[in-house]
Amino acid sequence: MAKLFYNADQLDSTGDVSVLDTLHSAGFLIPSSCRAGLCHACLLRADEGDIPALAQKGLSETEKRQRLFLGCQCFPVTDMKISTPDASRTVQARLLELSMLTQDVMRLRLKADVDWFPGQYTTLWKDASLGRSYSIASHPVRDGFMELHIKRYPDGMLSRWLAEQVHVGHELEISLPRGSCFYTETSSHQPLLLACTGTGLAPLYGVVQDALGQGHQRPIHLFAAAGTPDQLYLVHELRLLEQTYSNFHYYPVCRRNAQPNMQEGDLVELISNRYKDLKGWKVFLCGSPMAVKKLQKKCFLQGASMSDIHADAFESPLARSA
Amino acid sequence: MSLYEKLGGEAAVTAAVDIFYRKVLADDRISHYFDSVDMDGQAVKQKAFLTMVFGGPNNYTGKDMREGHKHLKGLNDTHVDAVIELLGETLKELGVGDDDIAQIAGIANSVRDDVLNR
Repeated sequence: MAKLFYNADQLDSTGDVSVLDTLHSAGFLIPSSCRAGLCHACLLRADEGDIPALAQKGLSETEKRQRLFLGCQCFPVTDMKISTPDASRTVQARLLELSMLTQDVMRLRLKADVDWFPGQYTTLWKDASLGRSYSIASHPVRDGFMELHIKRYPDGMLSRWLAEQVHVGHELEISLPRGSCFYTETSSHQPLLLACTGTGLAPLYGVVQDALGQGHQRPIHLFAAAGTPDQLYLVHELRLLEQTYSNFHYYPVCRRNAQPNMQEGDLVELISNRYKDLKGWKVFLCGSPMAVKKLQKKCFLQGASMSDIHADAFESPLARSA
Repeated sequence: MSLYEKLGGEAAVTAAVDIFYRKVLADDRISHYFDSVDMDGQAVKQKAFLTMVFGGPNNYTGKDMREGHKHLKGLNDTHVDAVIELLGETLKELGVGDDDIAQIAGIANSVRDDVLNR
């Protein structure tokens, strides 16, 4: 008989009863709906133990890599230690560096004893009730630190606090990284299209470097958009990457005042005019909700499969400063 | 063998969702109902719907279907007809035979009253 370890409890599992039902019988409230492996409401994480293949059927590669599984489809064959994903666990992170990437985008580098995939996000907490989510631009091993790009808003409660009161050496509280915006080797045969506005570059910079680090050979096209040239950042680093890897192309885009080596115009229009057939492409979209949603629809209508589009819409500045 | 298995099971549904949803978004008769929805969430729902009409494992409840559509203003039989038509085109593209398409369209048609809340 396999044993299930959930939080501090140990439950017996007979193998013909699903993990979801075992937990429910023991009185745990786990969200669930269809119980047929379709709705994904009962998503759980296996911290230890084998995950039967059926329990991951229909999940994305990124979900599988995070050891997520469907409670209603999981009939354990070994002992399993399980947890609910996105548990509100937090860890301490020490601020190693705080610098400015543009006039109003800060770069934070943190040292934290956690693991992540470049492109996932964490939540940074000012106190128990005020937290904001930011995507991660760096690799836990290759870089060794967690890098966040944070736009400073005049009324942004968290960004102002960071800019004015937090200093190198301070311990900050962060949530465990999560999210499905990252590169997996199952995409090694696909060309990649990445498009972002503003600090949407953070996760995409992480994804690009991770893909190149894993030896991705197919084309990688990165579009980074901003209002004006001075709002673009990491331009030099990305140009260097472009010189090093012949399959990587960087396309900076400005709404106005573009310099000679930049494109001028609307990101959504540029992409939909240029990529008429995205069949087989893997697409990553990050940044302002309006641009991300429009691009998601465009890319899908122009041939990319729904399951090949990662769309990460960032909260609006208004919601963020609230 | 069930129709669901004959069509290729979950892999067939996944392939069908892309084609079907793309048709829905491009169809002026019904696309406006999908303008403001979250695409990822919608794809999951479409997958559940297609699994159901393919005769696959599902937990369909008329109540969910009623709840999910009752806020859609002006929804009527012509919209349901359009969806069933696009479903048929999708299946044809996937090489499904006419008899099977008719059977699937019949299942889709059986939820019409739930969709239209009547």
